[in-house]
Amino acid sequence: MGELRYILGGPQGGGLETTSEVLSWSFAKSGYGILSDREYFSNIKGRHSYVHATVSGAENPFHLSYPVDLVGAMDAETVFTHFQEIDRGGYLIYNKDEDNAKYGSILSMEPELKTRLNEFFKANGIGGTLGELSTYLSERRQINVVALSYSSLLRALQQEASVIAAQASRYVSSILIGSIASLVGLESSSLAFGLKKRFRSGEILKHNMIFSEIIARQLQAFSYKRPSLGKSSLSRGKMVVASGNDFVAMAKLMGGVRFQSYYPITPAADESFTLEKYEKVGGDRGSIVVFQTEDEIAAVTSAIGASLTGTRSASATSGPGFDLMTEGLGWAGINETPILVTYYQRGGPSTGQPTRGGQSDLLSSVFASHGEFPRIVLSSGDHSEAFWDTVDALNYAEMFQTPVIHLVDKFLANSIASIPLPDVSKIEVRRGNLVKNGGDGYQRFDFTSSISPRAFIGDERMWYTGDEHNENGHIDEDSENRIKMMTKRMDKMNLIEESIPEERRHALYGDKDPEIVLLGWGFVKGVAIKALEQLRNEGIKASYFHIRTFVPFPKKSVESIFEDVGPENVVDVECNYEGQAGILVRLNTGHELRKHVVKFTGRPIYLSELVEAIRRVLSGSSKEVLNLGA
Amino acid sequence: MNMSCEDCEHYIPHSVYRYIGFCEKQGKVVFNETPTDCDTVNKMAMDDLSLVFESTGWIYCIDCKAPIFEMEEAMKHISNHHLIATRFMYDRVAAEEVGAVS
Amino acid sequence: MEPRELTAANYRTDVWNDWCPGCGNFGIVAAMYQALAEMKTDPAETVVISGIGCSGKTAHFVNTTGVHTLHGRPLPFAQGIKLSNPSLNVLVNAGDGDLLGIGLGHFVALGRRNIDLVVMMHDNTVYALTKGQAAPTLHRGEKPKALNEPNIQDSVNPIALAVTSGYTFVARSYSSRINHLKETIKQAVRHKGSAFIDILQPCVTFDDIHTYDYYNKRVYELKTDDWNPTVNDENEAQEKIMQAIAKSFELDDKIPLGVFYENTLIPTFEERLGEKLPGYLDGPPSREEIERYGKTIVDGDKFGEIFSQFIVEY
Repeated sequence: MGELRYILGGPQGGGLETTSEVLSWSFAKSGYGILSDREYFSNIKGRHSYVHATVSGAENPFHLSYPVDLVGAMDAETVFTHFQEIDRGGYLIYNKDEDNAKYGSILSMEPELKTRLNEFFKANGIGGTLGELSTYLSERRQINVVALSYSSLLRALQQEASVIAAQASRYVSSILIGSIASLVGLESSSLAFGLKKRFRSGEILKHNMIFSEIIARQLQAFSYKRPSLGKSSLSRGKMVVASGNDFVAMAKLMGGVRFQSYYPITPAADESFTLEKYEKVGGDRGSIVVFQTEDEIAAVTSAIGASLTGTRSASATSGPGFDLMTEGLGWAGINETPILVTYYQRGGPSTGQPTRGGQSDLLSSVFASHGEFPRIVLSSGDHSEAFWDTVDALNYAEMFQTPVIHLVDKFLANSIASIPLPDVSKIEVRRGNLVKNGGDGYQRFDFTSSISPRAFIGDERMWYTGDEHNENGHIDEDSENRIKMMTKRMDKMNLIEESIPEERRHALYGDKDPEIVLLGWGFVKGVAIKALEQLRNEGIKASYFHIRTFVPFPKKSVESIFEDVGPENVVDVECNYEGQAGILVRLNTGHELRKHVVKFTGRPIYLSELVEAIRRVLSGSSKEVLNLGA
Repeated sequence: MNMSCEDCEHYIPHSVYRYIGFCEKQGKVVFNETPTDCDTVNKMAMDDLSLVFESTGWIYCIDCKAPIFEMEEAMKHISNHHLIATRFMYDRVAAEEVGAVS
Repeated sequence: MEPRELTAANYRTDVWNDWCPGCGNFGIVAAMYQALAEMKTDPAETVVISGIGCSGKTAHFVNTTGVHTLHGRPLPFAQGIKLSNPSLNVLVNAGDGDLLGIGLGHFVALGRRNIDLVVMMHDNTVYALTKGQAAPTLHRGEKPKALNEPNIQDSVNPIALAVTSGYTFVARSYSSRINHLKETIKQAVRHKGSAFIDILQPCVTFDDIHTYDYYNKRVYELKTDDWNPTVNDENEAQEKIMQAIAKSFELDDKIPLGVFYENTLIPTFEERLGEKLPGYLDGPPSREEIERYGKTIVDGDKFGEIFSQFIVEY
């Protein structure tokens, strides 16, 4: 098989997170690469959420696809929601205690899904119960149904060990962990490692170990051929297994962020939580202040305040919060103040799809805030890029004394991935044009240098104002001063253009002599690169052009792509309605993208649907709207 | 030498135009006048000036269009015959015609 | 910077002061110049932070570091500055519109934190720089000349709000009582925690109600023999808060000036941070070394140690 794709589903708050984490750790420990995406509703308890993962022995995967090899269900709703996604010959693990459950009476299901199910069940002559569906799947879809009685399993556990009441739902997740580990033949030492990572020690760890043995015994009753991942061909060594939020937090700490302010918002807040866990890392010689403010206006303005004192400071937010930050961003722009905002994109507009993903805030980040000031906009395509882009973003902010916006999408932020341990000795910390002891004549906005001499508040006396100002930072409305100061600031855009090389702004993957080029950004990267492999197998020579910085824009490289393959053969692949990167391509190069593959359901783009969409584009379609995923 | 209205304690200057003021005693506007028939002219005493700094902390020089915060500095303005004041005649023009400026 | 012997005049910048002739703000900066000189404040370690409007210009008129921020946002700017470098002496000068209108959320949030800084509110009841609209401190039914009709919104009681938000030093002064204001500023600076001064200040152009005469007739100073605003014991706090609130509603014929509430028993936010972060007070964010020869100070081994939670060895 080489690759295992699974979906684990259950009610929100029912222990799904544990299942996903333990399995990710365990697979990684056995040498497999993993990508595990989490899809959930804006809800605390009870609505359907699921984990969609790819496990690979050949690579660290960054793509997800349908159909899947296995669906593990914590409840009936999961089976009703995902049974059509299981490949023939695949596996379904579910709770047969719920065989009498009917989808029609599950209140948490969206009515549209019920209508679709109604049509399906009618067309196939199936009754509405879980038991009938299970029979259908096993008899007519050749699916290996692992029907377990969850209550019997739990009773068996209670006989051997006591179940901790407050953690009861954790044991339900353990059923899925144990079943999958047993089915796939995961080494027991790896499973133990995964469980230890999650539970550290104590009763709950012990119970889980016992439980996995009970479940393994139970599964021996099933005579199905077991799925096999085969031996991993990945090289041995240390891996980092973490979510995108965590990678950004690690990079901020390594890159010297010592003040992070935030207001809770999905899917950004997890980054600040992680950073806060390491607030004492400086011991008795230093500290990281993670400041929870009253709103995002206070988040960005307090981070700017911290930056004025010489602290590397940052904030993390998503769309609604970023909107509130835009006035502050302009203040940082006119005052040449370094600031990093990590912008986690979710589905908009307004509250939109708060827990779903998207790439619809690109134009907002490039154009946010009134007036004109230099800025840098970076975007990350995977977990490794998110780490290194954060390091670069911090340096750029200080080198050019201007706001940097780092775009990350929710798909990346909330998915757990494995990557080789980054070589942190390569982390540069470049603080730009700093001055000390400027004395009484010190001028913060001195005209004589293109990047202003930056002293820190506390070391020198200086002035700042959001009004147009003179070299001293005092208000000045004189026309000539305005021209000089505005030109000095905006000239930094030229410096940025010169300093950030073309090869830093993009990456090109796939065939050197392609007939078709996919153009995308953000988390599209992983699935697009994987799609190239499949297209190659079908005899299609394709490449993927990955945009990594939008300001400055990889203008020359994009132009040469258009020249090489012609505008008819460049396909825009994005998770938004308008094709926002395409709009920026046109703005920067004059080239219009004529082929679009877009998705705006809030779910990531899956391999199968992307390959299918490219096939259609090759046979003449100019726009494909993707919709896969529950 | 006749004293001008500016030297009288009943004189309240206009805040923008040096040559306009209001006589509290007569209840009328005066324009850069040096009255001969007025017996109430009364120059502000230096003692009063120091009291001003102790109570309100500033005085304003209409010629320089600037606040003064120290006695010593005020003396310089006086010796240069600048008009200094702590209050100004009521004039609604600014309130009526100045637009929003922020 | 070595503290030098500076006079009040040394705390003035040479930026032309363009407030209206007779502006109530003159008294506020005059008191600041004197207070800063008497306290021998180091200009490089003192930060005057302002919002928008007439009061916003204060940052440019004081010869310390000045940060003229956004409308309503001087408090979060100030908090970022103070928390990243707690040795700084931070004075916020902001209007009633800044603090109690557009920035009210920040005003309450600062009280909850008790960060050691001074908030001086320029209380002139109007939005002067936009033509004299009603500010949150203008009482219902009042009609300064820029308003077509009397104000139909109720006013905020700044003292009561500050006390209930958690400010640990709450006072009122008047811009035309320079000594009172100067001494109040000095007290506020010396106070450890969030200090709030409601400074009554006439707007000579747009407010024909709250004039110098109006205030001169009404203000009186709270005398220590029959007024004790200080919490000496934690059990007293609630009583002193209630006393301050009651006093703050005396606004009609007599307007009290002085300290309404003072509590030094509440830990500052910096102390709270210092308690959980042992390195905070000695190595605050702005003073920590983050770079050596252009590289991160954390090497690979240390990275592995810090983030062991995320690392798997295969």
